[in-house]
Amino acid sequence: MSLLSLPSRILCCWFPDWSVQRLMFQEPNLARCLLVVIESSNRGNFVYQCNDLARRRGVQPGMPASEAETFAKPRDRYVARPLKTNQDTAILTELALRCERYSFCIGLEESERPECLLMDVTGIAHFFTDEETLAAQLQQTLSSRSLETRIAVAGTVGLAWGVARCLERRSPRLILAESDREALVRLPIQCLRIPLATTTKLHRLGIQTIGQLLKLNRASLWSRFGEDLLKRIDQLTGERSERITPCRPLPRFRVKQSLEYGLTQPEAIEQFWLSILQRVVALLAPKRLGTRHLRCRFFMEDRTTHEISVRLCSAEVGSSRLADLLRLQLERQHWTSPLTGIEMEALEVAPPVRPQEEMFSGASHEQHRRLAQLIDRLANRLGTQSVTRATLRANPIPELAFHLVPLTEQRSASPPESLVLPLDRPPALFPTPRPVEAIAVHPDGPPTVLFWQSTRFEIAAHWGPERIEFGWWLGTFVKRDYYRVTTSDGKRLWVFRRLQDDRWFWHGEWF
Amino acid sequence: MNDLHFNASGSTVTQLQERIRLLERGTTRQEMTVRPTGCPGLDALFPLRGIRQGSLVEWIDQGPSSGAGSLSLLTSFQVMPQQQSAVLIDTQHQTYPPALAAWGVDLSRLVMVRPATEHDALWACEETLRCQAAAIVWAQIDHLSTTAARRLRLAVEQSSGICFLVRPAKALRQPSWAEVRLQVSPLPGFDESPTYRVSVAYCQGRSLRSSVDIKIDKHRGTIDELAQPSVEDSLLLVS
Repeated sequence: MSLLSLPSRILCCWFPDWSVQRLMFQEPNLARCLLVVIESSNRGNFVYQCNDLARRRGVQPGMPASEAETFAKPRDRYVARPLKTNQDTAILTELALRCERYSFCIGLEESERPECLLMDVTGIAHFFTDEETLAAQLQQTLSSRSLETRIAVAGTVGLAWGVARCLERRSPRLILAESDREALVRLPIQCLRIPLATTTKLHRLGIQTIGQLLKLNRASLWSRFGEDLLKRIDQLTGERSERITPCRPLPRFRVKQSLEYGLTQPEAIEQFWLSILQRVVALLAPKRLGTRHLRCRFFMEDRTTHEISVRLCSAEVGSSRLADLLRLQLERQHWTSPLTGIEMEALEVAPPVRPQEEMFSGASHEQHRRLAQLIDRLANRLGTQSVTRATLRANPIPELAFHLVPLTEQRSASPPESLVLPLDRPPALFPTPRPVEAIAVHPDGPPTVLFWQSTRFEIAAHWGPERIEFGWWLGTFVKRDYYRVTTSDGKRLWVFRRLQDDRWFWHGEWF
Repeated sequence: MNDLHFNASGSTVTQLQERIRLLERGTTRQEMTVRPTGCPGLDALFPLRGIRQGSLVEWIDQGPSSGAGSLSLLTSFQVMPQQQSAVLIDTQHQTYPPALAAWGVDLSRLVMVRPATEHDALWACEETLRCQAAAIVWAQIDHLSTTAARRLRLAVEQSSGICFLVRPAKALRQPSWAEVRLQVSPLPGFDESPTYRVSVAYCQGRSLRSSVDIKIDKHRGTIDELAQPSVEDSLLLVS
């Protein structure tokens, strides 16, 4: 099994009160002092974090700094230090780089004041016997440097982060199995990495746990709390992917070359960009990497720049195929000025997938390889947005019931199943409904005659109405009565009456 | 005796037709796979009683909402082998995926190409056929020059796929390189299941029938032949 096909495992290592821990890590003698970290704002100075001794004396985060000082006893050495986020982040990054033996990809949490290390431990736990041993060894290493940690391993970044934040000092680590949904639904909503205002609002509505939140309608959550809450829920459940940005800067695979004189001859231009492409591929080859996204910039003598992106379904290592796809796009370029320079950069690099040949099965990898190559060619010539796969959405509004996902992007979550009968929806839907004039026997009834431009449709039979009323909370209020109608000459149309103003529209057809 | 003579001459004619067909189209493979559409009446419109892999079929619509697009789409999914992909070249950007899903189509095996121009659509169609990655290529092409049509024909014969082109009625005035050209016109009716008449406008080879009346079943989304009133029975009733 390749590493790419393994289920993702993420380790989150949280350093509680990191600003205080960082100070004690750098100056160990501060451990015996009453240490507070002060945050300054336009309202004054307040305690941001404090050590155990200060907490025992009664100091609480959020109290005024002057008040905190009064808790110190005569024999206590009171030390107040200003909050220095940059230094906190720098030391955390340094720590992350020292932990590289536990993961190939270590990053910090996405926050203004990061306190967590995130590690991708997919497929490496067996080097340490299992995940429990890996977490224990990591914790032991850090505690030997007097660092207190909480460690959680889970399937997603969001879940690992949430669980780590819930752990207590007496049980500082937890390994969640891939299918442990019980733990997820029991987590409090504070584990969602959402702003405090959102948490307070949810608490006011009586929502305490993730499980309660998951039972609510997504559309109403979106309208009340915005996209951020849905994003965090999806990241927690794994519906939306989340990448760890590694601390160690990634190597760049970029080649740039400028010319003294501009090129105008197509043959010379092709020779030039081919040589640059081969140099980029030569940078990738020793590391056994391919690219899924090649960005090319062509600099012109009139100081204009043309940018072309070559996107692929899978990482490609060969220069010939990349050249072929680049050529497809260059064929459509019209340059009016000589070419003076080119910059090429391989952006999404990854090891190429080399599947084993199937011995017996008929549907071979060869077929998939050909299809991937076809998609690459079509997408690079027609544009990535023109070569798509349709996915269904759980939205009753016909024009919003599907989504076209570019095939060069990653696959999304499994779509909802279709619940309509075969003839309930027309195979052709107009991008915008066509306004038609209608004559109906009853004011609220089905049409008997429809007029569209100079065409008259005599309606022989109808089926409906199908009332679609949705989305008032989203701003796009749809209130329609749909009819399937057949004309006197047998044509099948899909029309609707907009209930707000009783206007008729032709929306689709059995073309 | 007469029957035997008729059968013998019939088989000779069939063999001769087959030989002529192979001579006419040197690129056609000797081994052929014919895929049934699931509707015997519709199969009878094709010379091999089904759609041959590597064949180009034109569906001619008789104006808007004539049903040629719907029928061709439905047929293409009926003949598509399992575990293989189909490519839809949707020039008019109107094909509605939820309707296809309601027919039971696996959308994950469907590549939807929405080109900006018809020139791009033609390029995509030929490219897809030459790539031999898709079992079905369905495209809406209005204007098709003789050269482009010939290129498409050669491409589809070299691949093992099936190419369906949906074309307007004016295409009947142009020469065709399609193996079969089918005209689709809607039939008036009050049933919820739409009914259509499919007639052969051109066929390379002899088809059993020249036209068939069919309906799309409203519950299953399948193509069924409309029951024809039996002439013998009616005579019996009269007698």
